[in-house]
Amino acid sequence: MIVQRFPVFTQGVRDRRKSLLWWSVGIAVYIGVIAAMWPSIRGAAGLSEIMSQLPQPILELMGASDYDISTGAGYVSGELFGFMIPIFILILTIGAGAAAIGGAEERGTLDLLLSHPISRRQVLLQSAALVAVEALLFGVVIVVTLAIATPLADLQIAFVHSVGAAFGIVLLGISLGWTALAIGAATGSRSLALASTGSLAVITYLLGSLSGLVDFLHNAKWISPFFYANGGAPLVHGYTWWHGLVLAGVGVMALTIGINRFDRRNLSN
Amino acid sequence: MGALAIRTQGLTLAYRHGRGINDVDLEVPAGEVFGFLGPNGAGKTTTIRVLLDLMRPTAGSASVLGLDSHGESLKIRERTGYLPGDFSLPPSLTGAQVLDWLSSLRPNTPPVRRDELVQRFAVQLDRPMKQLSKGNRQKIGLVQAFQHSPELVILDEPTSGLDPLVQDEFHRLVRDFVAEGGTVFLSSHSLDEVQHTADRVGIVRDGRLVTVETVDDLRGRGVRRVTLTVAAGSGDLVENQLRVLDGISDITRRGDVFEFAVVGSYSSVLAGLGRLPVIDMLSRAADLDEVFLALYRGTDA
Repeated sequence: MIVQRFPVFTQGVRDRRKSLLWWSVGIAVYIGVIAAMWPSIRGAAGLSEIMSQLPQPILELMGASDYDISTGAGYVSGELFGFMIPIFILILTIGAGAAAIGGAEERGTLDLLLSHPISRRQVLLQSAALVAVEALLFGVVIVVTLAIATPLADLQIAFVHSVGAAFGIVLLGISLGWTALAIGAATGSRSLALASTGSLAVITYLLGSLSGLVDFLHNAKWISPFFYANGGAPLVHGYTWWHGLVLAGVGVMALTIGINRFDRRNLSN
Repeated sequence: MGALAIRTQGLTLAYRHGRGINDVDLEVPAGEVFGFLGPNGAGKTTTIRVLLDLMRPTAGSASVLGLDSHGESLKIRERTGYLPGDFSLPPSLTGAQVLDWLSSLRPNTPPVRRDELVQRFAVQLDRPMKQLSKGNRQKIGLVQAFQHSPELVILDEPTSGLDPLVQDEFHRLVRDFVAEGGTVFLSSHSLDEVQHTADRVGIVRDGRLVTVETVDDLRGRGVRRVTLTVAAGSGDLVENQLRVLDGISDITRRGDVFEFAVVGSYSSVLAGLGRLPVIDMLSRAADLDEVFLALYRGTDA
């Protein structure tokens, strides 16, 4: 029945299930390896002293100013949520978003799809649902892996905090994944969607990181999606829920503009 | 009963690379096979893509099966089959998966004709697209265009890549389909490709519909292409004579060899040539582009 009602979504899941399986395994293994290193790192003498002697700007750049990196939660937050996990989810969702319509148009399969009785709006919304489900799967893998690793490696991460931190990451993936989807739909170009959304991510990440260092960039973190995903170290202190609204709002706004542009333009063949 | 399957009025689309269309008025009655002819880049594909709402006209309107091409496009596409000219499919899917996927996009019209068409064209369903030749992929394209038994089928260069036997089967399919009340709109750059099936052809050039004629009428014009070799050194004399002869057009000259088109009666041309120092004369039926040049040169200026 779901196949009948959401054919684009269903086919998308079918196309990507193998790669999603490998993504899940890879993320779980990566988190597991980082977690497994914690007992020996904690044991290493003087980590806290070293950290406390580092100048504040260096800590900012390491993403470690918000929390104590000598606790399990702080360690995982810094090692994973500050950089690598956002990077991984963005590779996944920006890639999926850009491929869905921009990619189909570049490959030449969009013409055939849209010669069937399905509206452009439906194609875009079902593609958006696919991106969201991929991001959610990613989040579930994070939560499950951390739930297993926490007692094993004595990380002392509160379950509700890991859910909150994963939620922020999922929303980060969705907001930029939908942006890439919208740019692909608006322009018909997968490469343009990838390049522009990727640059957006890199620039806002750098501005956000520098905002604690450079006086005139002090307010720059407010434009960084990474701040709304991981600012304030949700793995340690819990997720600031209104941050999620900002990310969701950005995603919905991008989709709305994308639908509008996609609905009006000539498709290329 | 006299209903129009396709109707465009003043259809215009200004498009980059000059591949737009300009003021196209077209009427295709239901139950007809209509051949849409023209050289590559003339605007055939653009017209087809407007009919399916893949592109939006800048002026004029189009209706398909009595429905507005933009406002009621979903209803049109429900009742239409389409084979794109540049037919690409996800490379890892097998033929069966492709046909299943495309049927899932048509929940209201199940693929009642699939098995029959698969047999008819001996389609390979178990191989992924990337392992199939262009011709075998094209067969899958034909099956998906007809499998849900639509009222109208729009085919963009349907026979490209098909071997002659399969082309014959395709022509039979089109005739059967129309005999059962369907309408077929097919584009091609070659009159030979459509002359066996089309009732009428429209010729499009530089984005304009230049003429609509029955295939019989077009052939009946008897356009011939002549290569004439004359005695060495007499080229200038012959050229002056040729230029004033009735029924000759589109003359090109290379030294003492001339090429030109003959439209209509041969005898007046032969009479005129009789006084000239002709060494050799070769005559053949003109192909579509040459027919076009002979008949319509200058009319689209």
